[in-house]
Amino acid sequence: MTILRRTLDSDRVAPHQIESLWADLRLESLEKSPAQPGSIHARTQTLVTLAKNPTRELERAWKFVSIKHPGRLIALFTDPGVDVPAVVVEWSHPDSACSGSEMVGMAVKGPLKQHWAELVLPLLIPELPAYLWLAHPEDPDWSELRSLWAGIDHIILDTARAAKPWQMWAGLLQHRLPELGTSDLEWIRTDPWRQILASCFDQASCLALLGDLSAVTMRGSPSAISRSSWLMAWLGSRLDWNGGPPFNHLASTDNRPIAYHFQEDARAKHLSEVTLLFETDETFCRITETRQQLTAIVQQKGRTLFETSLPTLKEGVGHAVSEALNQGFDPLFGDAIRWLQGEKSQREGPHA
Amino acid sequence: MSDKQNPLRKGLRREHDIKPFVMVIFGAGGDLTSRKLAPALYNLMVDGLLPQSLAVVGFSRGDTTDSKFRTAMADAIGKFSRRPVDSAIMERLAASLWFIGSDFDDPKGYQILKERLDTWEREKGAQNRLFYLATPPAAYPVIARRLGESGLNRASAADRFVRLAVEKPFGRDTESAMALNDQLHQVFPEQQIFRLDHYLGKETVQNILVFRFANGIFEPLWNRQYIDHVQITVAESIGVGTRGGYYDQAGAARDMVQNHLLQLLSLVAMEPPVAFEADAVRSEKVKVLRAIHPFSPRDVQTNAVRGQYTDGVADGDPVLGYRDEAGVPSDSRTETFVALKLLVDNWRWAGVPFYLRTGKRLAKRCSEIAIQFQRVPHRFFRSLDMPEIEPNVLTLRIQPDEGISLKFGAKVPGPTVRIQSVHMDFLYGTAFLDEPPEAYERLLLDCLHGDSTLFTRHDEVEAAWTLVTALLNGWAQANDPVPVYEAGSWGPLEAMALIERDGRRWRRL
Repeated sequence: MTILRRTLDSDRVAPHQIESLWADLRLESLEKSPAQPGSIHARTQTLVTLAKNPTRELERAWKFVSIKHPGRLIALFTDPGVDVPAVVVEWSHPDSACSGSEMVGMAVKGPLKQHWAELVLPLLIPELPAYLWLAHPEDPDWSELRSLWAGIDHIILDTARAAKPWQMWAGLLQHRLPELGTSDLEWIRTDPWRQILASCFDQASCLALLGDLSAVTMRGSPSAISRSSWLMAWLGSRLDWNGGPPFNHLASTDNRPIAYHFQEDARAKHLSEVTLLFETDETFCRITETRQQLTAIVQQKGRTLFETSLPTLKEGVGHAVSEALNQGFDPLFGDAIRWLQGEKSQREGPHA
Repeated sequence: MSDKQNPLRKGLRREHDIKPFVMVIFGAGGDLTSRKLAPALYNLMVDGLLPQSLAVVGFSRGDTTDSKFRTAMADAIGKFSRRPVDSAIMERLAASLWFIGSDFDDPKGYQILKERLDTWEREKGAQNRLFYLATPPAAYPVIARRLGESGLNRASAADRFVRLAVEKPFGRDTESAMALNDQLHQVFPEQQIFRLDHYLGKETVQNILVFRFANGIFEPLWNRQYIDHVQITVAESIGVGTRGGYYDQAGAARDMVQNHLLQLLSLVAMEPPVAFEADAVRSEKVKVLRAIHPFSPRDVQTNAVRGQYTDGVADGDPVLGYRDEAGVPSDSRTETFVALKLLVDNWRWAGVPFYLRTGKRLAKRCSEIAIQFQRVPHRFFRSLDMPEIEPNVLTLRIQPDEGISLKFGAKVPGPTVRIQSVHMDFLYGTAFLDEPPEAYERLLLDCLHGDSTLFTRHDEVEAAWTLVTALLNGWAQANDPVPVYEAGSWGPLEAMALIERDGRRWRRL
């Protein structure tokens, strides 16, 4: 990978000079790159990552994403741990061995909105989707972040490590623009769970049980709160339950109560088990996660009605981000959000 | 169970909803199973696209045991899988492999098969069945009949499937293809039959439809007003190898033209279907095949060329001529090369020739579709004393260097106006760095989903045979000597003349 480095004090450099700096950097990078002559890396989007500092996990994620979705990766580091004059820039150009994307990393000093228009907007690839991935685990400053929405089509959150995921979502919903797409990587990570649950009830013998669902129990690490909540939101929106978070007053469409229980398991890495219990004795559907494999079994009075398995999404935030870029707006996600907000699902309705 | 009934299924991607199934591979001892089917099953399992409850049964002559079959398949997967073998997944797949040694015509073998299938249905919930005929075509009617007699052709309930997958060649000519269709239809309705042409499983071939119908700019130009001609080339540098005996009974027209080339032609020439659904797409393809001007004996003389390779040099090494290959008679008249000029008699394509060529032991391995546009109507630059401006060419490269390129003229920087042809390229390999699935993975998956878009329909097969049978009959009637070409060349001189007579030339590949 060819890496070029510049330092600049954006307070003293005029905006048009920054634009020509980007052009020079890009050209220089292209000249020095070992990329095959004549080959063109097709570009599909710009992904802007907002993080406090570069980490190994982020680097792995970018490498993965750049292969799946060649484009331009822009990383903004707001707390790089070193004293930067104003902006330190590293620019790398793809080569066939390394990645499919150009990468621009910037360590910035001072408020983000000061730098956004000058430094980031000129780098968004015209006419292609621009994503903003908020890689901070903690609650972001939404009022500051709102100034970043210009030029962005879609925001990607990750509530995996948020202490209060619902606060994050409340903040986003309050501050985002209606036309802005949104994803939560924790929702993306529920995809295999939703797939396998759906597979269980594709079977005629199991589908008949859904009307007798009486309880949902989940087990996982404390950090699985967000993932388990999204699963409940999905179930609630698909099955038209009444109620919402914190899920202790749920009821089916015919007003039967549905109990919910989350059991913390310190040994689990994330969500490790989901069990649906039915009113018929000894009848359940259980999904367990072991070594990145989900296994589902539906049993009634000791007799197995159905079993299947499915791999989970691989660990590594890059896989989830890549999936978010694949999916874009997911109508099921919109339904889940509306259900959480107390609205009935509009299955054909507009984006949440 | 349909999406409407399971509220949890709505909106989810369908790739993970394959129901538990048993796949029975007739002829499992052959090359196709080792090289293609077993690796495809393995890679589908790696991607989590197969249900936990599955069984794969090899049904073939011989006294192979379950254990030997598992070992043989594991070896084959190790050799031919596009990805390295994960031992845990291989172990899981191996545990699903079983073998029944039986002649295809032995009812006892089918009885054993039925008992095994019933047991798996009870114990594993594997209620769905795919019968894959990886056998010589002569065995298809026998196997179908025995499956019917043993009741295995009928699903045990309405929400379960039974499907039959058959490989090409599907018949030898129109009559045999129709007879084979009739024989299969006596046991399996058409919607249960999946006729494979592995070219349709290639990403680049599927991209033809996407390219044409997901982009608005090309369709207005996709007709006789703007297109001068189309060239379709499927060239192989290899010879017949150890398959001389089989190949000599077929020849390039049966082996390649009837299926792969006509499939490519129909994808290029078809009208937009009303939906991306199996029957809508296939109906449009059938219309194209039926619109191709049929060969009269005279057309065979003027618009068709065949050839047979002689010794030469391929990939730097001297190679034998066709008649010296193992299993090939020394007086064989089987063609290893075909070049055709076809006309599609419809409103869109009237007057636009489609030049097709295919052959073994050609200069290089290459499959592509080249759409050459009309030249500019007015020589705007003639005062500049420049050579003729080259026409635009849109090339869809099927393999290798999979991608698409557009040739157009650009001004060479400098004080004078000089125009040079340049290429605008899209390469799969650099745009999508992810390795695409093999054709058989896609086709098996679609078969298990019941999506027949990438499989040929009975009328499609028959229409293609009608055209090729007329060609073969014309050659048989004429009984001319078969032109020869040196291995490593681009075919017989007669093929050059075929296109040059029209003032055009074959693309230099």
